[in-house]
Amino acid sequence: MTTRPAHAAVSDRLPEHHALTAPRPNPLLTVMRWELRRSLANRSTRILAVLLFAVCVALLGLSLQQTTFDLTSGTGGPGGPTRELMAVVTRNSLFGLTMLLPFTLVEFALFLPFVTADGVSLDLKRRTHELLMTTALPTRAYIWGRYFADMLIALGMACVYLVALVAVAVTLHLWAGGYYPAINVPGAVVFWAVLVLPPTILIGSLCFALGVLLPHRSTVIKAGAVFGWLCIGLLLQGFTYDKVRNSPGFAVGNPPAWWRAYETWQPTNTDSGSLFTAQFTHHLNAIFKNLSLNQQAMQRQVETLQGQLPDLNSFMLAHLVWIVFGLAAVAFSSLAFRRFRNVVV
Amino acid sequence: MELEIESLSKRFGAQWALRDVSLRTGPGLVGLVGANGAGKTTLMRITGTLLDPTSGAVRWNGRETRSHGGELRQVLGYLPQEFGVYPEFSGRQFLRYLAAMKGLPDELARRRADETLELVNLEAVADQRLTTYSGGMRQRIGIAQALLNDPELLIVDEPTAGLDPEERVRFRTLLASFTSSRVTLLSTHIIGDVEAVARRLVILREGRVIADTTAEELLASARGKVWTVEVDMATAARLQSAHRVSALVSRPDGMLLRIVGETRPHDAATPAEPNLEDAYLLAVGTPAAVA
Repeated sequence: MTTRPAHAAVSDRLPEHHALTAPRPNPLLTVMRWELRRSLANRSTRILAVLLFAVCVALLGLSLQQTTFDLTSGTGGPGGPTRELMAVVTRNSLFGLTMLLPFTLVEFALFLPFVTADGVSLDLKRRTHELLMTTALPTRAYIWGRYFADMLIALGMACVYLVALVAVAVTLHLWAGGYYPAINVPGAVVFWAVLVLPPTILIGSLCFALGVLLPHRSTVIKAGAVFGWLCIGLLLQGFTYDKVRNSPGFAVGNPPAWWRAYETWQPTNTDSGSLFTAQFTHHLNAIFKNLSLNQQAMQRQVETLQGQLPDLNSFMLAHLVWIVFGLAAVAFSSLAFRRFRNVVV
Repeated sequence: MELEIESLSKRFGAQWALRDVSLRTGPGLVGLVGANGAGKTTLMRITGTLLDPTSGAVRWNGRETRSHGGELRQVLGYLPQEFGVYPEFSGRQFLRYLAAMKGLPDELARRRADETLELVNLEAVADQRLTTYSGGMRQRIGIAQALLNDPELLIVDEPTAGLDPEERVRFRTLLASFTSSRVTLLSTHIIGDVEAVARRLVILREGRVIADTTAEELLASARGKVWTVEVDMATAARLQSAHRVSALVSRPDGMLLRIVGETRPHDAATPAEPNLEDAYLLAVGTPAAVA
């Protein structure tokens, strides 16, 4: 270290503290910009994105390769004439995606705690907390800037998921177009936006907020989020499905009201596929009951039906509430965060 | 430009880290000296708005920092005792990042980052990742970040920890050149770090100020209380357990001891000219002597 004439630089003080009188850049945007820059420069973010893409491609590829499932119509009604007709529903139709997306969504959501839980606690781990907390950076800008930056990364991950979905579907169509029809991309994007984005925002926000409130417990938060999500998304889903599948009306798309409510409000969306499948099944039954249709005419109606978006209205309201809940958690953590506390003793 | 610390106390559970500390200072360097655990870092953290005091107040230009912390942070440069970096950034990016967090506009942030890099002589490695930096280089990055906003109040906590002897000397020179126009608090347990640059020395022990003095006064208070004696090993061991030894040199036929104390420790002991380290040991050992 060769000391140059220090006064040359330092005694050249900013005229009348130029730094303080010049218009200060928006601190929220400054934090967001730099946090994004830092995250994108981090190798682990890139590794996470590549890993996520690989997992999604593998899961979606394996699932889409099952290509079709068969629905057999058996009867025209009690005492009426019977017949055997078969309808084919492709997996990469919107109907098929109702079963596919919720299942793979569970795996996708498991990545999110690793994106957002460390938003603030990272500074304690890396001992950069004191450097930042002694700057003039407003606390709210620090918390919300980190949050928005982390959520942008999380939403970027959700885009990776969408790209993987479309890429797999398109690849299969190009490989065997007769077997795999082209994916309805706009419909898939709408479905993705409705199914994937709310859980992304919810789990991302909750993990971030908990990371702010319990900065020394970020590993526990991540493990808890993963475990909780799996419990709600898979175990509870299996349990309730077992309870409901033998109920009267389930097979004809008319499940009990409590189950509809549960599926509508269940935050992981793993059950939403069943909800939408029930809607499709209801319409399929109407087609099957039309005895004037022959095999070809019925298949055409089924193909039209499977390309239509299900009714998402009741579902949207529930998930908007979850998004607001996630944002409220972040707002609470922002208010509870104190620079004056014994966090660095 | 005035920093006032009034009757500051801080308790962690049942343990008092600071007890009734008061200090008022204008531009210039104040050296906070004390052993590990004396309360220096707690005092620095409270002054730097990182900790809330249990009682007492810190005022910057007459405004209490507890309620006007934001105002102080506008003009604060802070180098903690231990700090981390973002390994994904280069030195230049890290400084620009912190300059942005300090609220400097982009152009100014770039300029100040370059200036401070030059100041701590890291331009040559400025674009290398921080993970490639040695401990001394990281410490210099820490010093550079504290200067980014041209602070009026500069707080540096054990800044020479981790520096090799050559870097320590250079750091002192660097520090001496930019402390006259700002209030600087420097804490250290190495008295030599502040010997040449501090216009005032505050000695802390067990959370209390036991001396608020100058280097000259401290040296004067130690005159006639420093002794050297060359003895055999057994006597050296006995003297070490009975007196405060400030230096010990091994000799072919025994040991040369430098002892601080009010009375002659041994018949063969001769008076010696005190240095600041001797004076510091005397002050720490006898709280009432200097305060």
